Amino acid sequence: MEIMKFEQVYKNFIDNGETIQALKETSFTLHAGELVAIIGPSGSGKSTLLTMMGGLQRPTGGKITFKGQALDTMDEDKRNILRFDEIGFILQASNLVPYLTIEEQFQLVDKFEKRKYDKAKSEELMKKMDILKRRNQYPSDLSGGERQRAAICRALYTNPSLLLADEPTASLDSKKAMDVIKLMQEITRNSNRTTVLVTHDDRLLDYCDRVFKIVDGILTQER
Amino acid sequence: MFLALKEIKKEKGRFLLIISIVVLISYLVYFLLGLAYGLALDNTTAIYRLQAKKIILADGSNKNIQSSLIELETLQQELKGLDYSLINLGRSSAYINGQKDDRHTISLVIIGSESNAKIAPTILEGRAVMQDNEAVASISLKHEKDLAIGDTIKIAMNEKEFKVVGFTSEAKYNTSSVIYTDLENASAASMIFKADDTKEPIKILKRVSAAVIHTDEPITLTSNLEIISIQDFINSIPGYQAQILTFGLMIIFLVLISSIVLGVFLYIITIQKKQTFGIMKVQGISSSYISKSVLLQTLIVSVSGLFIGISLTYITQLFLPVRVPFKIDLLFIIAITLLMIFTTILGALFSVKSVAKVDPLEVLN
Repeated sequence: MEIMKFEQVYKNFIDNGETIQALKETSFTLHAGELVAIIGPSGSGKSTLLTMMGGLQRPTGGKITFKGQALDTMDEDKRNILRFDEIGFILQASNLVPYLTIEEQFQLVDKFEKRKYDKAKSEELMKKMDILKRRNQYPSDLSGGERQRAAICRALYTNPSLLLADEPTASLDSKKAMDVIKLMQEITRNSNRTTVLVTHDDRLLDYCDRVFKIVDGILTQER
Repeated sequence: MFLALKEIKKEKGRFLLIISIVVLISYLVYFLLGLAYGLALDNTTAIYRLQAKKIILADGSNKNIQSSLIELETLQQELKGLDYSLINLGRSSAYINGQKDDRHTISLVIIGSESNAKIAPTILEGRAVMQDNEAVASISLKHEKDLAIGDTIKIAMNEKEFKVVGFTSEAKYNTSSVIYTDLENASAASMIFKADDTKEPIKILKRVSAAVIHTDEPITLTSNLEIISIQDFINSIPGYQAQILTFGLMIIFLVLISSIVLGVFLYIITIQKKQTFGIMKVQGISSSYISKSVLLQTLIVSVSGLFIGISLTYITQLFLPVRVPFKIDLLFIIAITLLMIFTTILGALFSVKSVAKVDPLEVLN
């Protein structure tokens, strides 16, 4: 099943009056159940690509579709709703609100949606990620690994079709990094969702179905 | 509500600090308000208690009752058929029980009226004036100078002695306490004559200070008299407007400055949370939801700070010496509180604007 499609998408920035092509014309399709890695040196355009996938910025040209809907022309409110319902972000610095406990991170989602807190679902996720006992703690009280697992839980709580992870293992040691990538592989395969991760860590690539490399804004499929 | 309360719970120290700033500023504002109102009352309670709409003074008296002297006969002819009360007002230093030390010396206003007049004082303790040289005193003299029924008040100007036979509710004019007596005893003639000047000068009442009118009906005067509204008369009390304007400006500026200080504080705190707001926006949580939380936090901080400020003001009132002209008026408190909440919210709107400007891309970069 097709989840996301990029058709001749490119992105330009103006810097000091000079046009910089952050992403050159790119086309690819992402399918459900795929774990995809994007690698490349710093400043190569990885984050630009990821933010366009997440609807955080529009392309300069080309067409992006998410589950058949045109993401590139969608207004900001609709993109916000789509991001909230369908896209999960896992950030390098973890996507947790610092003044909410781990359990409250889930409650925030339901408060925003004005619906009843799904305690059973959050507990199931926390149990699965082995952080249930840390539910009443603040993110700052957790270790790096626990924080990242909590961030994954939070991203999965809305049951997104697309999971976008920006350097999810950057702050973790080898063992914890492996635990996290195995977890991501499992949640991608078992729930038939698509996961895209931007990484510098070559050890994660063996767990990915496809690997894209981006250099100077040019995206190529490595395997 | 959820985000606002959870953050306050987590960042107790930070929010206590902001609330304490609101408490201190609002305490100062309410305290000044109490002093301003107290001082205003010290100038005017005796006038408000006259229940008058207008006052008739001699032409050229410059709206000053102490400069006014009107022929009684003329006045009675002019006001025939109207609802009015004649009034005499004198001013002098006086001594309680003849003792001339600081504790027993008072600055006094003597108001004279006919015993059946509308402006005659309501008795709280003791009885009304029934005989010559008797007076009913403002209860403030009991509280401030320990005056008691049966005590005598000797007027320094003419050495006339009044026996205190009762107390009425607090009455002050131009910051001086008032004693009430009959029309003759407070007349200008009575005030300037000493006992040995003539045998009974005060019994010849030819002139009065003024007349107050109790109704709003239009009056046409043919003699050389001036008719002014009671509010105009109050505004002309020497020093009254200067006091009101000074305190008023101080309070308004304090409210504005406190709102700016609070607004800046909240703005700095909001800016510090840019990263967090970015995270929430990446997750799809809207700017309006985050902004509502910032506004609610401002409301919680200001309302709780103002509530503590009001409580402290009431507690302070209990411990202030009675001589300090400090009075709390609930209506003024409510008005100033609403004004402070409004201006604080206005200041918080700058924070809201900064929330809307947070770019989630910054979090990813």
